[in-house]
Amino acid sequence: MTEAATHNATAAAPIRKPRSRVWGKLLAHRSAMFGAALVSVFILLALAAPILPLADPAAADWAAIRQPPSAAHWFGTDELGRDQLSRMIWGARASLMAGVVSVAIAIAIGVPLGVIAGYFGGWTDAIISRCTEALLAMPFLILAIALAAFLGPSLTNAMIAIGIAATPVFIRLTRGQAINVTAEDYVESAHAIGLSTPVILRRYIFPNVLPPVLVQATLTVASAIIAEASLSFLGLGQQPPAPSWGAMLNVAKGFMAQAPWMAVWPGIAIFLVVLGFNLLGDGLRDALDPRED
Amino acid sequence: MHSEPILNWFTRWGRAVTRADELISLTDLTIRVPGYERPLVDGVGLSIRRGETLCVVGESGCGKSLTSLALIGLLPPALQRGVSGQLGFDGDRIALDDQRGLSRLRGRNVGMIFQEPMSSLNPAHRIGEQIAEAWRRHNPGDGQAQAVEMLRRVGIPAPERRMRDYPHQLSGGMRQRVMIAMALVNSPDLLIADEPTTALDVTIQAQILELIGSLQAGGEMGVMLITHDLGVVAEVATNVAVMYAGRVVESGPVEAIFGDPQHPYTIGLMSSVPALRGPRTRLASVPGIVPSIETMPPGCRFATRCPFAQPRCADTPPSAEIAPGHSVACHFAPLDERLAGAA
Repeated sequence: MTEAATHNATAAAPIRKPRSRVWGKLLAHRSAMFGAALVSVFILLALAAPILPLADPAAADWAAIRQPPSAAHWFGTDELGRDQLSRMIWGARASLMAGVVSVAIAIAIGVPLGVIAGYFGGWTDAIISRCTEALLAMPFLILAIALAAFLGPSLTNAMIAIGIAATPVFIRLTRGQAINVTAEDYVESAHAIGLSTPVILRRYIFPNVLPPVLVQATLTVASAIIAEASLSFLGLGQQPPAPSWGAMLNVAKGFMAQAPWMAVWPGIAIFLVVLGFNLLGDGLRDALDPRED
Repeated sequence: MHSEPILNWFTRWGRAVTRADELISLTDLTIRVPGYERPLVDGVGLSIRRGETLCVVGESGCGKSLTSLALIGLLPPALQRGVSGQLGFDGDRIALDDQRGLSRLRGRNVGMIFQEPMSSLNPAHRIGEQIAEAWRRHNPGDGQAQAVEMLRRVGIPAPERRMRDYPHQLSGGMRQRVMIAMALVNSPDLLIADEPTTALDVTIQAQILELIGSLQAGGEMGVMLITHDLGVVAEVATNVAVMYAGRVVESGPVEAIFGDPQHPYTIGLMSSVPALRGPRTRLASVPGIVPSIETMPPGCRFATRCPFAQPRCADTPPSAEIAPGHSVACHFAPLDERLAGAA
């Protein structure tokens, strides 16, 4: 929007544009900005991994097994002499991708089902909701482990398993939101101008259920990263020799006494990235909350 | 009725002639709710001719809005199942329980605007896009030009630029103008306006009513205006239908309703409007409250509050035409001069 148009709009209606208000609140939210910074650092590191001057994360060096942090290996080396810093940064790719892709899968399945359940109600809603509740009755991680074990160990299957395990939360959330939006006057006026149901679902319900979904998505990325680390820890995620934080922890647990740094770095990485997503999610929730003005 | 047969014949003939340009005629609209003996809306009939404005008046809960929603098949599903009646639309007859038939009218033949302009626009899309969408639903083309033209017609300055505004950037009056633009972009035959000015302040109310009037004057459009504001009725109505507890108790030309109200409820309504001139007196009110659907009396539904109620009122009063176009559902219509004076 051009500056002139913005000026004109404010002159005609002294209502602040909600979109920019949300941005303003988010930018002013300190912990959210801290979270965003943490997440950005990891995303940048993960993206820049191929061009950073790092050792090959899979290259074993039998002369430097389980070295403590030093000038040559800032974060030390693991039981095969691989550079821990390099493995941590390359591992960020697996973790972040697992977090984002699995949540994308959960949204892609969960939001349409939730919109349909909330909009149509009745039998459609009953069937979708009962299935959702059956899935919700199982703990998230147990469900993800069961699905991953069923699909077979690989990072892709781990992402699918986590995505499916995270879906019911999105169905539930979207359904509730869709019930609210369906009762809005603008949906009635959409019927009154004769719009078809698919158009109403796509253009009236869907965009208006998104804000809480966005918050949930950010928070679920954090859970999904932990879930991926857990699956990799159990050997159901990223397969060796490719690096992943969970797999690094799995190996490190055998050397806790001799080489504690092997466990510390991936642990800190998981902690920081999950903290980052949680702070960002909380900040988004506050920024999108119309009551907090 | 005490008229001669010849006069009777004349009035019938007169009506037959006017029927030709009748745009819509709603007959015997009844909405039943399972578990209740008495229907929510009971045998409502209305008719609107092209270029006319019919004001439907009555207090909250009398069935005004249900009637308008039934007309375009937008009742909530639980009520839709209990609907019966017929809609004559521009020569076609559609059963009111035929949702598919009614949905064909929506947007193209019938436009509707609602009470709450603040919440009746989709906050996620630009207003121009929303008007264009209404156009595209029923016509070829992207509707952008039509949207600009409609915004211009409803008096929004710099429509090309305003097209790109989101609803939250507009005031309530502006949003109601956008709603009107959306409802009228397909040049419908009938505009239903359900209390379009209730949520707006008085000066904006006048502007919106004037706008509806001016958009109607050029074309052949009929308007059904639902309101409980008798001042608005006096201003814009051609005809008036007074509803009470789910029935039309009196209907007729606006002059007849205001000048010669015949149903005790209409008389009560008229005398409850404060006058600007004349001696100050205690404002009249209609005693009692509308009975709930469980306690609704058989026969005349106003009997519990009517100052003239008689044993006879336990029978449903027929709607009697006491003058051309002026019908009253009361056993005692036309009212005795003496009684009218007492009321």
